Amino acid sequence: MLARRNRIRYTREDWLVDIVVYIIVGVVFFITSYPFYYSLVISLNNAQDTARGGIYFWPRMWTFASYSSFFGDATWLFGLLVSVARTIVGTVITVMFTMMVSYGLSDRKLIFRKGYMGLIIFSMYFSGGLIPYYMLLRSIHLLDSFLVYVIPSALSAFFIFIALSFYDGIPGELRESGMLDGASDLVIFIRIILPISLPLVATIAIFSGVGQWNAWFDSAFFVKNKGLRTLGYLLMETINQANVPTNAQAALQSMAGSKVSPFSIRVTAMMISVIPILCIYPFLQRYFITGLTIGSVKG
Amino acid sequence: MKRNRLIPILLAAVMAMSAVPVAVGAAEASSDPVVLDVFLNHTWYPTDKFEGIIPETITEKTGVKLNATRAVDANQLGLMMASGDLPDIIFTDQELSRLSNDSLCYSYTDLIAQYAPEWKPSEMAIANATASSQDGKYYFLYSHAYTAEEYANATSGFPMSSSLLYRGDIAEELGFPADKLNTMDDLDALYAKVHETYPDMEVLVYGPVLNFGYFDIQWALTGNTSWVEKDDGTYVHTVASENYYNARKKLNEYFRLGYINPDSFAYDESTADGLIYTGGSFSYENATQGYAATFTEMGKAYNPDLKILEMKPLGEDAAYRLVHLGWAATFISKACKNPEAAIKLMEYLFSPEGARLTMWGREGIEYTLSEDGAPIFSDEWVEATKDEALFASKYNTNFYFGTTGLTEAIGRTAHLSAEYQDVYDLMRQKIVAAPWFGLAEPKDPNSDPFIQTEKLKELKENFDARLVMAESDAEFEKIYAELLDAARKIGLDSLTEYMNAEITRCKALYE
Repeated sequence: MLARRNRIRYTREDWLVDIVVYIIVGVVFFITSYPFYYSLVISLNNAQDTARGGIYFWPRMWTFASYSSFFGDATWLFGLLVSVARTIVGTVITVMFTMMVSYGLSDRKLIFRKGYMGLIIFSMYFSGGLIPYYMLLRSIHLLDSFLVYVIPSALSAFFIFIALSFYDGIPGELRESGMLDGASDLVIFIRIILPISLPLVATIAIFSGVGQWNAWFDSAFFVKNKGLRTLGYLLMETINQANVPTNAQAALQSMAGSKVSPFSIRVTAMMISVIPILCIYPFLQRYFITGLTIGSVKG
Repeated sequence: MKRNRLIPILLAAVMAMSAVPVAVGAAEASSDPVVLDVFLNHTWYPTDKFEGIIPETITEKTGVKLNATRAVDANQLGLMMASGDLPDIIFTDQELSRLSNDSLCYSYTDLIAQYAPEWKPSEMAIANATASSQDGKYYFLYSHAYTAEEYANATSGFPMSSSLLYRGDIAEELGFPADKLNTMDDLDALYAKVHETYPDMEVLVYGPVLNFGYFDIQWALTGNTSWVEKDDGTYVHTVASENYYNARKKLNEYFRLGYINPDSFAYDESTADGLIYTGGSFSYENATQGYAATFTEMGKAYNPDLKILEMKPLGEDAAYRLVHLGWAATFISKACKNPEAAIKLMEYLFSPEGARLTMWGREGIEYTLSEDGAPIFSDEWVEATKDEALFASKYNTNFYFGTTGLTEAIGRTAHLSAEYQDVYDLMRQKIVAAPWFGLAEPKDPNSDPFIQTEKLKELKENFDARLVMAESDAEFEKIYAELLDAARKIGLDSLTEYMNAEITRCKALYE
């Protein structure tokens, strides 16, 4: 009956609107997804053949040369391992710290709350710069250590504000009921608050995880040990090698005769860094959308 | 319960990762040769591994092994200098003045006197390096240095320079074999014929890296200095010189004849490279030292008859002006754990034996010397040069900290066929060595002349394409007048006065 009514209501105008909407969505989908697809096609085509042009939808001369130039030695596997480790460990620590700190700050009765908030806001707008930051890391012995990937990023002011908005939306009665039952703050947080904070966890996890996955700067500036290089660092290194400056007369030769080209290297690097994120995103998207709208409605 | 197990596992993983540097450090300390950390301040550097026949031989000869770190960001060295965390050795072509400082690095003056008194670098090499320091000592020696005499006496090899690559097979087919191309008029006639016969072909492609360097050379210009000597012995900035005006006028003529595709100014290197060996273009601004031969090999897959050659110098005033002092520098930092080993390594790398080893391999195995002193490479070496990855991993010619420009040039060109060698012979005849231009270049990044020089370089780059693509003579003149006007606003006149005095002073040092 319901289905029949729906059919009757589906007028010509509805069809027309649907068709127009689908066409627009299709065009937008094509415009946004084609660059990724094109990059994938180019990364799988012979670099010399690519220079002839005319490749749009399918590789003309299949090759995995660009990919094998990335994964040709064990360095890349170590890099992958380090990146996976820092992404997992770093994300867990960031989520843990952010949730706990912001939960504490969300309590309006917290002593020196304004002072803490002032410090956090100040750190968001002002930084000491690269050299003082480096010297700080050196003085606390974080240089050349895996910990430099996960400790400095454990707490972010941006994440704290997202979390505070979320906690504002949780009724105070939930906490009070826990207290009436004799639960401590930690028990309330773990047993009551955390289970209803999954959208927040997913939001912070995805922001933090993507940041950790793509990170290369700390690996370049704060780590000398080659065994601790991240995948992002190695990708950056490979892209750099494809960009020989004009004053490097002795090095120009190194590019001649290469089976891969700077362009193919760039698109391959892009695919390698994007594919894992593309795979994870759809599964977290549901939480992510909820998380982004946290605190957007008041009253 | 599961959550309870997760935390110890993560903590264990963190502790395991933290332990890695300790384990690696311990392994290094127990090795026999002296291990020195070297920072390669070149993000493009082809290697960061001190492995292969040549590095192993260097270790055998010097007892030093290098642990290389390659830069991935241009700011890394600055951070190291500011924080005082410098490695043992730094190989760089940047920050030479700042590193030539007693608080950051050992001077070669002191280290040679103390540990290598037998080593006597040439007075000119010392003077060139001392120009970067404030205390009269020298903290490095330029790699890839040269003297006019070296090139004058050379029987083969040519330094890396702009070169016009062209389709030799098409030129021959159209009646322009290499021996018939002797003047710019011949080139004009060839281009006209190519444009007429192959209207879809791009006749001349701009080089994304080396720009229109070949045409600059035909009018005695070079990208390594912005100054040109006039007939009266004074010096004029490139943009204000007749040479520049005439070179751009010629290119504008080519543009208006349809030989240059305006889109070619936006090509990246891969696209521009690909056009020449896949049949899309006739000639392309690239470089000497074997690119033409390499592209010929690459293009055989599409056209077995394809032959890419290098154009000989055709301009009446053509000159390959060598004005640089060398290329890069190797500094020994104050943090160096063994400065004696470091300076002895440099002594070896700057010796004729070391310079040859780094570029040519082992004498008697990878090469033997012909009667005129040129290397004859083994079949194994020549075969390996065809596979870049194999050549790099097997021999590794990248630790050339002390090699000379000519040693490198000979190494890179000795295996090429006669049709390339003949062109290099002609090019060598047009070499004009004038290192005083390089010595006179402003070196203090905070000084007005340095800032003006950089601004004028940028200005020239911005106007180059506009001049070439002018639609008429009137528009060309208007743009050129605009360029001169903008240059004067930057301080062209005061800079010209300053540089005239500096170049004259530096030239006197060489005389």
